Amino acid sequence: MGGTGARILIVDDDADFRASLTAVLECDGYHVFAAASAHEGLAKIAVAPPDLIILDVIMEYDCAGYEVNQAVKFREEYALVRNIPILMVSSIQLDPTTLYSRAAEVEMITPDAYLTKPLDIPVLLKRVRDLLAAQQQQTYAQGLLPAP
Amino acid sequence: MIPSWTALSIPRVRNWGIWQPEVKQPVALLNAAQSGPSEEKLVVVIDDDEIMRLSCEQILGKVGYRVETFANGHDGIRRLKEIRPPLLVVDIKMPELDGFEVIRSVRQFDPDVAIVVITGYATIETAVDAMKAGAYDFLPKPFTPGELRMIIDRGLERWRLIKEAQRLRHEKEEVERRFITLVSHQLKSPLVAVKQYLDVMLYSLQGQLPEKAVEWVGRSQVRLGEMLTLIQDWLALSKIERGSWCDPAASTSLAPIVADIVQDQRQLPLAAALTIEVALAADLPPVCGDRVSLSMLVSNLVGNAIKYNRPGGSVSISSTHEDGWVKLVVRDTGIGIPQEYIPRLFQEFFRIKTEETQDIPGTGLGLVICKKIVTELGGSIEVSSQEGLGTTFLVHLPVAEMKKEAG
Repeated sequence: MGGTGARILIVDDDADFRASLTAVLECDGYHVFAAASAHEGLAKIAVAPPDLIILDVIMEYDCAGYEVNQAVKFREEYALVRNIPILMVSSIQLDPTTLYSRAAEVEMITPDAYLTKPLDIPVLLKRVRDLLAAQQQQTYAQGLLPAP
Repeated sequence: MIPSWTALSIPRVRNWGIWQPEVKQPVALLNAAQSGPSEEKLVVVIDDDEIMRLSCEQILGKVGYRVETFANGHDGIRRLKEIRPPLLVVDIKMPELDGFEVIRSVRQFDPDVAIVVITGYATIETAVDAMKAGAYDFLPKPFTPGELRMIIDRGLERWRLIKEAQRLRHEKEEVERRFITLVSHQLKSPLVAVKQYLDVMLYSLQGQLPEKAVEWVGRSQVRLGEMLTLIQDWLALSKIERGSWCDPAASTSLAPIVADIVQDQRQLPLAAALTIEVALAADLPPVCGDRVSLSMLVSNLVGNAIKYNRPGGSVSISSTHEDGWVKLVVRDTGIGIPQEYIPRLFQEFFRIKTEETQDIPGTGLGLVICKKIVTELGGSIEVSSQEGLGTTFLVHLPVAEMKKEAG
C-alpha cells in the first residue's frame, strides 16, 4: 500500500466514477472524500483542505473544473490552499485555447497534472504518489515542517 | 412511384432524459481592458482642410460623438488601426494619400467600419468609385449640419447591426461546435464509469477472481475500448466536417510526427513480429497542416499497415518532395485488399470481412478521417494493393512555404 494516510478530494459529478475511484484509492491507503460538483468541491476545499484534488472538467457546466483550478491557484480567497496539487481527469480533451483566448487564462486553468478517463490504475496511483511526494518536498523546503 | 417519405414512421423527437451540461461562455478570468472596438460613438475624420475638420468636430460633438481628426491619410490610418472606430469620414481629394487610397488600405484591416466620403467634386463617377472602393455613403460639399448628422447616425446604426450579426453568428457556431463535444462526453461517460469499475475490480481483487471471470472482464474491457475509440473517431470526423479540426494555414514537419507515431505503434502486439522502416528525405520541408491532424493521419495509416500485416512482414514509411509537394508513402507487406473493395475503402463504416480480418479491431472510420484530413489540407490520397502481397498508401501534401508565397 503506497498511501501515507494523505487526504484526497475527488470532485466529479459521476457517482459511479467517484465510487470506483474511492475504492481503489482507499485500497491504496488514502483517506478519500468526494464532491459531486465544482461548487461543492470549492466549499469542501475551503472547509477541510485536502492534500490532493482529483478534478473532473465537465460537471454542472462544461468548463466547471477549469474554474475550480483557476480559483484554487489564482483567487485571493483560496490563498491558503494554493499549494494543493490538482490532478485533472476528463474523458474529453477540450482544447482550452478555444475556450479561453488569452495565454494568461490558459495558464490559470492548467492543472499540475492531467490524465484521460478511463484511468489506467497503476498510472493513476503512481501520479498521485508523485504529486504528493513533490508537494511534501516543497513543504520541507519552505521549512513549514521538519524534514523526516 | 415516388416513395412518400412522410409516410414512413419516423419516431418523433424524444426527450432522451439525459442531463445536458449547460453550454456556458467561460467567465473572463482576467479583467484587463477588452480588445477590439472600444468606444461606440467615435468618429475619425481625415481631411486636409482645417475648416472642414473643425466643423465636423463641432457638428458631431454637439450630439455626443467623440471626434478625432487627422490632416493626412497616413496618420489617420495609423490611428484607425489602434482604435478601430465604428465610423470614418474621409475627404477624397487630399495631397499625399487620396481618399480612395485611404479607403482601400483601411478595408484591408477593418471590413466593418462605416466609411463616409465627403467631396467638393461631387459627380456620379466619384460616388460610384468611392462605393466600389468600399465606402458606405457619400456626402457632397457643402452640406448642412443636419445632413452630416443624419448620415453619421445611419452609419453608426449600420455598424452596430453588422457587429450584432457577427456576434450572433459566432455564438451559434460556438454552441454547435461545443455541442458535438458534449454529445461525445455524454456517450463516453457511462462507458468510462463501467470500464473504471472493471479496472478497479481486476486491480483490487487480483488473484481472487476465477480464471474465467478475469478472461470475461478482459473481453468486456476490449469491447468497451472499441466503443470509446468509435466515439473518439466520430468526434474527430464531426469536427473535421465542421471545419474546426484541421488548420491548413499551419506549417508542420512530418519527421518528428512519424518518429513519435512509429515509436508508439511499435507497442502494438502484432508490431513485435514486424520490421518497421522509416526513410524520410533529410531535407523534407514542412507541409501545410497542424500537428494534431497530421498525427491522426499518419497514425491511422501506420496503424493499418501494422494491423493488416502478417508475422515476419514489413512496414515502410518513406517521404520525398518535388515541385511543392511532399509525397508520403506507407507500404506494407500485409494481407492486401481485393480489387473490388478498393473503391469502397474511403466509405464510412466500410470494413472488409474475411477470416483474416475478423479479429482485427477497427471502427471503419480511420480511412474516412484520413481522406477528409488530406482534403482539408489541400492534398490527395491514393491506394494501390495486391491481395495477399500488401498495400501502399500514397499521400500528397502541399509544402507549407509554397502556399505562403502564393497567398
